[in-house]
Amino acid sequence: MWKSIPEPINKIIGGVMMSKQYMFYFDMDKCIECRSCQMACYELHGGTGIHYRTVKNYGNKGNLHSLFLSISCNHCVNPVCVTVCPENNYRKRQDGIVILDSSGCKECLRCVSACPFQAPKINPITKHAEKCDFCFERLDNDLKPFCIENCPTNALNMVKVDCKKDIPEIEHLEIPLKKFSKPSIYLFAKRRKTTMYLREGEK
Amino acid sequence: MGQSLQEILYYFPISHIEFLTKIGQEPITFDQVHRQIPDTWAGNSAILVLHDEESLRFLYDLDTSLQLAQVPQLVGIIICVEFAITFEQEIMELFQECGIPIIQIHDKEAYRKFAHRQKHYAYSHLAIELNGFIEKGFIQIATELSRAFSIPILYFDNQFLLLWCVGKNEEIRSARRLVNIQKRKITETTILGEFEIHQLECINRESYWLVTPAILPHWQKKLIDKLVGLTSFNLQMESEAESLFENVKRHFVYELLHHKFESKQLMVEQGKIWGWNLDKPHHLFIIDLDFSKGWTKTGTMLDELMKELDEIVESTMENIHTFSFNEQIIILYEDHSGASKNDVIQLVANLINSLTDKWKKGIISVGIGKWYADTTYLNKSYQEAKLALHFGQNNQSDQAIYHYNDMGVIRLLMHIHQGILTDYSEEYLNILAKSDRMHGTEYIKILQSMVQHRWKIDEAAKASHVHSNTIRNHLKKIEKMLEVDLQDMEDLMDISTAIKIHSFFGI
Repeated sequence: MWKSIPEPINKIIGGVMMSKQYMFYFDMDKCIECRSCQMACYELHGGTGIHYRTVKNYGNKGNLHSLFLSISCNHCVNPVCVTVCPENNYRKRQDGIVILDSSGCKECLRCVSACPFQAPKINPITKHAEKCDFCFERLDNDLKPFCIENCPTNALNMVKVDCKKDIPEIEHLEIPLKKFSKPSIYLFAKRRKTTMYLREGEK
Repeated sequence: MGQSLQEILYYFPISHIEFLTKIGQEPITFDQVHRQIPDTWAGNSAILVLHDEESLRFLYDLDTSLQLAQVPQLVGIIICVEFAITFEQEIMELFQECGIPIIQIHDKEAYRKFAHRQKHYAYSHLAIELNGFIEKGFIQIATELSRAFSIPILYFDNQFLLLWCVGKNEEIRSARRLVNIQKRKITETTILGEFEIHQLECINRESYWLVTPAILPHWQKKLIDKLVGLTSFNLQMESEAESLFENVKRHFVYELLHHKFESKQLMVEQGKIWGWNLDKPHHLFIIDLDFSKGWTKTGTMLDELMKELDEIVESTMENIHTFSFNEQIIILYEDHSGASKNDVIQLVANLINSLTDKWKKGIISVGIGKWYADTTYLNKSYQEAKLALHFGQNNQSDQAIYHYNDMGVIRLLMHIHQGILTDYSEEYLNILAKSDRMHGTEYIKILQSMVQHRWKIDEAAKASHVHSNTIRNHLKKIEKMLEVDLQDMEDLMDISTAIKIHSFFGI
């Protein structure tokens, strides 16, 4: 439970950089669809039957020119989930990570439908919405998120950026409200010129 | 050769010294120390050091004081008691006229230093020195020194604006004139004409300045140096305290705007530190400045606007709190009953109308979130206000105030699968998009403008800088291409929705 783990006091008093936030960095040219990130995340969270992180395929199976996208919650600068949750269960930490307190979830599905990335998912056992938390407990112990640590090609990584200046508009992906929500993911895809839709890769 | 009375003063905390009479510039030397009035005065010069209430009695009696003031050997009286004492003015004047200074040291053990003529400054006393300085305050200490030494002391801020001064008017005027003329050249402690400009150096803060006469006896110079040092130290501490206070406030504001507090009580208690009554429900507004309209994007503009808003709020409105966050201004407006949307918009409009003209050139826009009875939901209200602001700035450019409830169908679109939305929008607009692409028409742009102006042709034409008949012609072509009748309410709603979805993907 995130409630039991307060942010270190030095982050609060010691001149915390509120405008800095973590961001995923994904190089589509390096991804080989091994799904190590997806499986690592799945195992870390106890195999609940839902994937916080999924890998989508843009192209035909076996096609050498296919592109893959590993995607989870993108910890938007202005998260829509905060606006739509009637129980006010979402919060955004000062390092930008959006955290969901699942214990208060009433399974209304509003966040599930409103999130442009469908990041929150209903846990079939607890019947509560859950989503990627950027492995903030690991971050607080100076470890990288488990998905990043398990990426063999280094396609998935993270950076810390100034959310006022450095968050570029997400390219290649057509999603609503992206200029407002500002998803914290930087997609690098040298080979891709056209726009992709998240639903293209759905399986 | 005796010892200088004034030199010993340096070894006491400056806040402990009180000059009950003026003290001359010349060093007062003594070779005897008496702790009570002696029967016979031996030696050439002596000081009387009194350290209990009993021995002070003679100073309350004019006759005894008169006799004492005529003793040629007596050169000064030191009173070492911690409590405040007051003597008759007549007695004080008597000693002053006779050139016998009376100094109180607020330390009952101080007599030992005079008895042993200690000339040793213990740095372990720094904490006492600083604590005494803070308790007594710069103004009182500087005033006492100014009176005792008969000198002016002036205190300037980092822009050389006079903050405070004490002394004779003529001397003060002379010092101010000098500082005003020479201020561009002053970068460090320096002597200019008759005055010395002391730099109050601080880290992470621009220097303040203290001005005193340049020519002072050595012992007075040492005490002024101590005053300068302590004032700098105090400024540094204040700066640190302000910085810590600001950090804690920033953290609280962040939590308030991004986090549902686990305990309302905790939130209310923390809010009280800043004077906010978060026990009661509040509306939340975000004021955004459009820096692109010829304004330089600096914090100064925001500070200026904040200052104006604060002045208006202080003079005319109650229960409103303003603070800046992420280059925007946040306003919390206490409202027990949840005023209607129109009332809240009117309140914000009144607030903006009260601002000076320079803010009324379309550079201010305001987002308003929903009102929640529970203040732990202010974070939701903040996100809603941001969304309303973003939506308004992108779609309703003729307005300046946007309420979350004005977003209408957009709030529903957020919950619908984007594939379904895209399909719906494309079914209506694909033909127009193709025409725009192939023939350079701007049919989708025209429809967007019409939706934005609530299907008022004249307004849309004005905003697009075209004749209204041009818009009418285009609409006829659109009707023909889409096989719809825009006079029909059902068709109009369908096209409006398709356009809103199209715009939704772009915002």
